[in-house]
Amino acid sequence: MTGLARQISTAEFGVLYERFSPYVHAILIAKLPPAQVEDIQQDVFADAWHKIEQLQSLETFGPWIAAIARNKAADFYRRRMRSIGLEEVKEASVPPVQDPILAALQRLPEAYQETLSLRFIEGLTGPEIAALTGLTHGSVRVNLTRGVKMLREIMGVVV
Amino acid sequence: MNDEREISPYLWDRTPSRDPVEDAEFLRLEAHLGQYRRIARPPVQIKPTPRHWSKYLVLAASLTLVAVLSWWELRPKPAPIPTAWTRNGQQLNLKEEYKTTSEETVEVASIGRLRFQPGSRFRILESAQDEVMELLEGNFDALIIADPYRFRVVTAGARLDDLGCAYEVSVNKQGAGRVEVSLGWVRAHGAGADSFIAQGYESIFRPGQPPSEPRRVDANATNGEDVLVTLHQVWRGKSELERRRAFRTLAKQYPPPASVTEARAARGDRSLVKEWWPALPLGNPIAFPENF
Repeated sequence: MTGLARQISTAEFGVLYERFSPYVHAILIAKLPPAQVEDIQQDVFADAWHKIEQLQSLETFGPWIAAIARNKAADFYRRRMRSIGLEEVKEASVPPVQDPILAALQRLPEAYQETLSLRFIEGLTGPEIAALTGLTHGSVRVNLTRGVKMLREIMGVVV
Repeated sequence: MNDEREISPYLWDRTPSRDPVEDAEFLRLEAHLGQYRRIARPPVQIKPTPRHWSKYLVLAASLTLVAVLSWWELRPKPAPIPTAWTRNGQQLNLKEEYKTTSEETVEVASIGRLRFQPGSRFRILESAQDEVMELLEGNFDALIIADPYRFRVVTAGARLDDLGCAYEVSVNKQGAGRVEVSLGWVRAHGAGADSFIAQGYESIFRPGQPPSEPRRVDANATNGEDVLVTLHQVWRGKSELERRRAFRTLAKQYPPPASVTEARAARGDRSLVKEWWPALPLGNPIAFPENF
């Protein structure tokens, strides 16, 4: 299995960073305590830079770096669980977020939390989300509609 | 908003819906959650066209327009074919001509964006496997992240193939234009000739003529022979003498592989370029077109 046919320059990587950092940020803020996001975002792009040759095509950079971001977020909780012991694992899996709206968003299924994060946190429109993530317009519509419905339900429980 | 296919217009692209209470709820969510945003994005630009005419002139023009539109509406029309390109959140249609009235950003499917200057006219010719547009007039800067040759710009003077990834394209009313590359490479093709334009170089093109060989945007940026320019002269030189001279100049500094000979240069054999390329200080090999 071969990777990219060529290395990419730091300047080219800068362009990828510029385009995809809102996507990565949206994924991380939808899963992590806000104070952790900036550092982990840097880790995500550092990992991507070191593994870029594994990428088959630059066109798949978006889904690829999104997967790295999701893994980094999962690693954060795995490390946290190891450090506090098995007894508290269940409790530790709940995001320690004070903001009730952000906490509610973080309780949504992944597809909904990420799409809603792109829409309400990063401020993108539906078509822009589709363009950035590679999802179809139909999928973005469904994620937004179902996500908002679930968010309302969770907020109702929270209130 | 019970049916998920009938999404709230405001939730989709911030178009006000018929339910102001729900719009206000989304607005509150945006305002609250927006505090966690990393990158501030400018609001969607909706700029009205400035009107300087007198109201009488506007009235007369409107009446004429209504008459023309009424006639136009009665004509049989093909159904628009939507693409994955968007402008201000709206999907663009295949083959339809668009004109920008202000600086506007167009998202090219999921592979990049074009930032147009006001007064630019363009059409999307293909959108699916490849993304192909025609720039009829105007200017844009492009930022494309895609495999080489997937994004192409057709103009009256040349076809520009994206090899990755940032450049500016201008075309005037006569179809003459210019491409300047700020990052990566672009191939310009026209009248049977090719130019490979690198970062920091530009090429000029006119209808019916080959695109110019690349030249440095900042003429002071190099001393002595410019490898990229000389390489183009090896196969694009106007005379055999010019091609031989360019070959010798380049070969002295960067000996080519045995397969690349002066005889091939003399007859303008362009295929020698990709064989010589790895021995030249031009960075990583670019993706050459098939049958090159």
